[in-house]
Amino acid sequence: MIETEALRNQFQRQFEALGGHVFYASNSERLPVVLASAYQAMVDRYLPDGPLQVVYWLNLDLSVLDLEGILGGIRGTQCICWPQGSRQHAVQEKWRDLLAESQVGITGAAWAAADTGSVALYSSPSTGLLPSLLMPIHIILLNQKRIQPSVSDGLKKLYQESETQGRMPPLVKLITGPSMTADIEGQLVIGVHGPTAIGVVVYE
Amino acid sequence: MAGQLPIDSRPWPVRRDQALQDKTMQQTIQFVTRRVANAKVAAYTAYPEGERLRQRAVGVKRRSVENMEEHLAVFAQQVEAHGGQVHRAKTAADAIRTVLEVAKNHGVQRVIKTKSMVTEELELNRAFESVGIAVRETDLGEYIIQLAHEKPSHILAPAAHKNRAQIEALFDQDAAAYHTEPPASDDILALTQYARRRLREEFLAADMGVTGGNFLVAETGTLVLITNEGNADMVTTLPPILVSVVGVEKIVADWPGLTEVIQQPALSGVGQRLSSYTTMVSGTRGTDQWEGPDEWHVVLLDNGRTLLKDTPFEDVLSCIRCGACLNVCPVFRQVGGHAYGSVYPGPIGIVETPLLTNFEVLPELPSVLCTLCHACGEACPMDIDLPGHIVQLRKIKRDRHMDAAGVTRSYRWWARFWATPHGYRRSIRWARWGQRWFVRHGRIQSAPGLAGGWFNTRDMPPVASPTFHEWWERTRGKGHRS
Repeated sequence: MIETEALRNQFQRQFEALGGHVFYASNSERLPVVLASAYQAMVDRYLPDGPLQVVYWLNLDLSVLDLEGILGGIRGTQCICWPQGSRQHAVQEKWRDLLAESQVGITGAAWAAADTGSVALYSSPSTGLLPSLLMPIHIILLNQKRIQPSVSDGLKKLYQESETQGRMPPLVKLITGPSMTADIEGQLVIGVHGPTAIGVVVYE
Repeated sequence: MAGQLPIDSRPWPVRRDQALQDKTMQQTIQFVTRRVANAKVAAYTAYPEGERLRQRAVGVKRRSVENMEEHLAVFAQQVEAHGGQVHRAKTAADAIRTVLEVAKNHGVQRVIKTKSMVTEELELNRAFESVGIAVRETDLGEYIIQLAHEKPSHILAPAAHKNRAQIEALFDQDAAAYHTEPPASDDILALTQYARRRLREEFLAADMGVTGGNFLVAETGTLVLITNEGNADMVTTLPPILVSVVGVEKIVADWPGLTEVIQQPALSGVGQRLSSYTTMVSGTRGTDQWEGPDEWHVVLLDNGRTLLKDTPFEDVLSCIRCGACLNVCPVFRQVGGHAYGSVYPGPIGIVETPLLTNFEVLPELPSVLCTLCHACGEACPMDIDLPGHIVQLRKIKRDRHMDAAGVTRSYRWWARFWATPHGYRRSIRWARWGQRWFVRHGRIQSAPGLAGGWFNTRDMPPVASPTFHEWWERTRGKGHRS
């Protein structure tokens, strides 16, 4: 479809202009290969040394993706699935440490906006924000069907979903580029608190 | 009820002279303001929809403020329906009391904060420290000025007055105090990496997070926070208790309204279509959720804001704190934020500081820190009539007899002359006669009486002989009349 392709291109242009990286898998069979090379390129560039631990969750359409199998061969990467369902406080504490010690977060996305180059994540029992928060590298797997023309369209979608759900997710986060600051002498620096490097793998 | 704002109580000439002598501040503030002002222009140029969005956003803010009370009631209802608690604070003191009570009830020891002008307005950090609670600012600029025990010099870039050498010295001291490795150099990247490493420990150890808020959505009970660093995500996701202190004027009626305004702070503030992170909180963590606060308190702060409702100054409540008026103001570019003596500097500070406090503090602002060049009026994305308000504030001061008697008399005398062409010409003839005692090296360098102050920091060319008017009268003026 020409329209989705135009949206994908616009999203890519915006996201790259912000300093993000975009990779593209033209069909689901190609996704493992594209993801592996995207992952390899990003860790080699931003974290050339040291062990690699990935914390991840995926959207339902990718539940069969074997991340361990895809990434395990790259510098001995360990993959840990972000837990689902209810939890106890003590467990959360442990998870927080684990997340703080990991190098890469891989997540799905709720939607993306082409006009601003944004990606939206929700906190929900099966999707979370922590893997996008503490690690130096964040990679997002984005089904191109989720790309909305504009951030207003995305927010409208969030609103409609919340009407069916009966409530807004307690936390929603729109990511529009890597963590950055210009607080020292007005000079732009990438990677203050959040990820230094952010990549999106768009798949069909 | 008038609000309370913390001020620098030193008189204006002291604050002014200090600013004019601080070359480091002048250099960095001029660089930062120019860079951001240019980025804003470039962003609008590259984004054709931007101007239409901006106009719609103005409408949303104006309408939301009109029925503020109604929307605030809906907001409170929604937040409470989703596990949060809403507190109304009439004054700064009320807000501080509420926040400290929440902290005390949970035995909180460590607080992490996002950047928030409202908490600057409350001097909340000092309040925490006075009861023995450690508080850490996590926005890089705020962290720097917290270490320096200073106040923000710019609404958006709090440490815009400091250079890297000064910041390295602060970080070295901090590293020594916390027994950790100091920054590798005064390179800006190295300094930022130091802050990332140091603040990471604080994020993970904190038991309460405190945020401000860019927007509140009544319909859904949502708080919206905008940052580029990602610190608001840490503060809202990690600690079990979250307190958000937000001015009542941040309310937006409904979700469609939010979609109209959400891009404005970044577009006009830093020239991005959206900031790197937009964080929305709509309640506490559900029982089946892993993330989000266990407890969420929203403190809605008035502190003089509703005084502005239904007055000619109501549009001031549309301010989104983007800093665009500061970045284009020629006075701000020279003296920086500290010279204003208020937490809110620049044109918006000139207007808001006397209005929020009913002229109780810093009443000199509208008179001495504005040249009426109207740059702020053009830059304001919310169409706030800043230059018009500054003129009105001067008028109110005169009506309330707040100016020194000598000043009022001089202006009245001056106005009497310049109100007619005849009076103007006469004053010029007198000035030409009188200036001979004050001209040095071809410029007027001083003047008698009150006018003398004007020449403290500048000079002016002498009255010409003949003046343009006289020349015109003698040559072409005559020709046309015949």
